[in-house]
Amino acid sequence: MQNILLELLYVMCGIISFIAAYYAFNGKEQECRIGTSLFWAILGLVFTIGRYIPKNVVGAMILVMAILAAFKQVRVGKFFTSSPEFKEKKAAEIGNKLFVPALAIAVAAFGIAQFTKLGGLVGLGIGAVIALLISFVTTGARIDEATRESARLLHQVGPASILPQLLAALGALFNAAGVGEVISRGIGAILPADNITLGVIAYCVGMALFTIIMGNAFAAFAVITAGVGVPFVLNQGADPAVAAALAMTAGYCGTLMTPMAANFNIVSASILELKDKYMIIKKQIPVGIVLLIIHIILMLVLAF
Amino acid sequence: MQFIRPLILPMAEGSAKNNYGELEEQDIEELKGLAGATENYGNFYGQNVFVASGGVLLIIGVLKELGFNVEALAVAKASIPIAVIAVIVSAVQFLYYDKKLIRKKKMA
Repeated sequence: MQNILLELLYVMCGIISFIAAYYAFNGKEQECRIGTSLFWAILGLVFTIGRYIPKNVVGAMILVMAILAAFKQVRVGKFFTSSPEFKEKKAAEIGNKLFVPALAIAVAAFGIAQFTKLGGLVGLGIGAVIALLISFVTTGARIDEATRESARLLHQVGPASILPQLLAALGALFNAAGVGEVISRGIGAILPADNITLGVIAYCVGMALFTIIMGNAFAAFAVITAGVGVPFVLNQGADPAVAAALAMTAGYCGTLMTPMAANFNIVSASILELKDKYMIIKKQIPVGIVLLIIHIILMLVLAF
Repeated sequence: MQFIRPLILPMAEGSAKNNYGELEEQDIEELKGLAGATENYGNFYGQNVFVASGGVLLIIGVLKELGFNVEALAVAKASIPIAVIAVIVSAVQFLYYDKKLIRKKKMA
């Protein structure tokens, strides 16, 4: 049941990708029309009929998407969007009921995850469908307004929207290639594998350091979990959900301390018109260090 | 940033001016830095409490590939303690800065 529903939701994700491709292909002022529509159409294919396409072909399709993104052939389209006056008038008309759909997603996702066996992902999908239906009722919007706004949002997120899936695959790849083993053998030379305290410190600090270098905790998570987390923490009897959750936020401690995470630390500084563009990082460093130490303690206490 | 620039920063600046009088340029810089940091604290440590956030999905995806099956809900629940602690630690930082401003004004 869960798998059928999940598959259905993936097909819906694919349809939205196709819609994004359609708007890119037909947009009057769309830059890089072919590249952009190709990118979203391939994503739509992978989501809808991916399970019936041979794995190698899917891999090649993803490579085409990566090449399109790398050569900046995927651009945000110019969408007709409602005027500020229209938005203001509608906002006054609908009032606080506007928040109902947004809250419905969270309530449905949590409720389904907590009280059924369907899991959080299916919950999120069902929540999104419910929210969409409620928005049609409360706002009286037309269907083409919903499809256009969905396509516009997807265009704005752009190729980064598939980053989490690719990074998860990267973790699997590292694992299959034995990168984790190399790292753990290297660390194993210094660290006794059965020392839980040292293992937890290596996992948390490794996440933070790698994030500081890469600027992205997601990328660090796949690598460090395969190399350090599994052999030194998870295989020592830690609760995987607790240890991994804390490892991820330990990585965020690194994000607080690095100019590499420009969108969080540097762009914000310029929006706030700070003269010292490193001021936000300077303020965050002490908190990042304190929280990193707390992460190590929490992982030792809660995961074992 | 949608909340910090139009809402949080003016509130912080207004409150600082009310309590401590005119602010020097360096004080305003530091206030802006703290205002920017607030958003990151809340965003980073709060987001994984939501069962379908990007971070939670990545965690279960990577763990599954590595041979550990975990539920999104378990990961979200495991993210609650650090979310609460992050609120406390950031509150301590802000209170500490408050005290620093008071001391500075007394010296002047």
